[in-house]
Amino acid sequence: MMTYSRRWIPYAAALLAFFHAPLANSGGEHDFLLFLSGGPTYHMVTPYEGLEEGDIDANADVLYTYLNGRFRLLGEYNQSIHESELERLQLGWQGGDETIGWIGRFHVPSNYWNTVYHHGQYLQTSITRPFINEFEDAGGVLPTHSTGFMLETAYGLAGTAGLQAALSVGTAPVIGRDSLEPFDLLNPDSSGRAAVDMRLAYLPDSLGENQAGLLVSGASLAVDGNKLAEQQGLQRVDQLTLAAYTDWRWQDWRLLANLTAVVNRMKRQDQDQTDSFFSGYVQPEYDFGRGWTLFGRLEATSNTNSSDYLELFPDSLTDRQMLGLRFDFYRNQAITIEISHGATIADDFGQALLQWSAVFP
Amino acid sequence: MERCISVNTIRVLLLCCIGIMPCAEAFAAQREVVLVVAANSPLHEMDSLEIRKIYLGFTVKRNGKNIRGLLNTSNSTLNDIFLQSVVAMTDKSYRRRLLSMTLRQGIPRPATYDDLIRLQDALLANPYNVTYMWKESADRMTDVRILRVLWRKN
Repeated sequence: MMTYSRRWIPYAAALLAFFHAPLANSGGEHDFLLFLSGGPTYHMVTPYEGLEEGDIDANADVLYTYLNGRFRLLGEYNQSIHESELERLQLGWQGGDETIGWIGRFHVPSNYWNTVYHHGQYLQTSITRPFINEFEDAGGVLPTHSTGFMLETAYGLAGTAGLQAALSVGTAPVIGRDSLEPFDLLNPDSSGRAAVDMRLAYLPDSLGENQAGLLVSGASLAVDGNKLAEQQGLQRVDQLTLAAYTDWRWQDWRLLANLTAVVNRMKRQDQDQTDSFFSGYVQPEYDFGRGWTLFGRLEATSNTNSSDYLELFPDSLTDRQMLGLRFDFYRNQAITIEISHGATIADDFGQALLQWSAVFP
Repeated sequence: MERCISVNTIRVLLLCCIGIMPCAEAFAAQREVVLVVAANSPLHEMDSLEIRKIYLGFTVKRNGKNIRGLLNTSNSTLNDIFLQSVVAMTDKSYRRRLLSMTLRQGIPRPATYDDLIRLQDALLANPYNVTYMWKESADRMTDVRILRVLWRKN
């Protein structure tokens, strides 16, 4: 799929260039962002543990937006050493001051971390993502992309408080050879069953960023090429996810926390089976000033040894204790270091990461 | 002779200081940041919450038209005062917030101008554009109108 998608890059670039001039001169507003990041990862493992000792990542994420009256267009393309993918392509229609409907490929609203950071690595304090928020192609076990329809709206409460709600209906990923594979707009062979996602958030200041909320997702994940799943006679997984989260700032402190319950109904040829697990994390951050931020994350997942569903993703880091330091410098650039101890279903090991990230212009 | 020149010089300097000090004091006392629109703009009033919403990328409309906020970065003190007193954010937090709005919602960041002439041209190009500047800058410009005082030095 990766190779297939790469063939479309020149076409996508040409399409963007073709539309850019008329769009820019049509009286609307547009913006362009280029997120760059990269750096080495060191795994403290022996050669027998199945992981490379060292790894290098380099990533470029291009975002283009266009706004004209009620109409909105958003496209995001991500290119890295490991992948090349049209992440988002959304057409929006603003029905009211606080309501917008989207069609296209988007990040599901039931994954708060991704709806805040998407692929904009510079904006997230940490280098790594929590296990439960990982993208499908990076070891994620929950859907993060969908193609269909999404509605976002907000309601004012007493004073400055507000509620935000988002609902989407679209395609679910399939359980592919090594990972979940979401529907790919640039690949006509791509397929997927249905997914419904929802986020409801309370904001004490509707213009601020502090919030707490509930996330609900239902997805039907068909098996398509996963050998272990096929050996088990697994045909599909009907997955229900419920989560509560918070993202709160107090002066120089910030706290990101999430608790997710996942129930998988494993549809096999002979019989159905229910499988469930919990996953949670707490990530405190402290801004020292002068660009320095200290942060850490504790995350844990239950039933990792007994979940048939998690067994399909043996390389995913389900547990982690991490400490990191970030230095923001110049204009929109940062250097971050992370040291952690993590565990997959079979292994546990130390990890050290160093990353430069930036956004232009 | 040298002494005379010296005394005279001191006198002149003192007189200048005496003359300049009240002027500087008056200038500082009158230092104000104002919200301005094009003289022909149909916009007549705007409260603080609406201004904050405009500069945070939220939709604020008049007569069915979106109001756009233009960022004036021609003077860093002015920009800092505006961000702290109106948007209630530091420059760094504000930049991150705008990036986040663009990434999340596809809302383009406000246009930024570090040159007052280009800012004035942009303001005059759309009657639903608003911006902020020192009051004395607004007083010097033709075709712009002060909508309200955003900040005043005490």
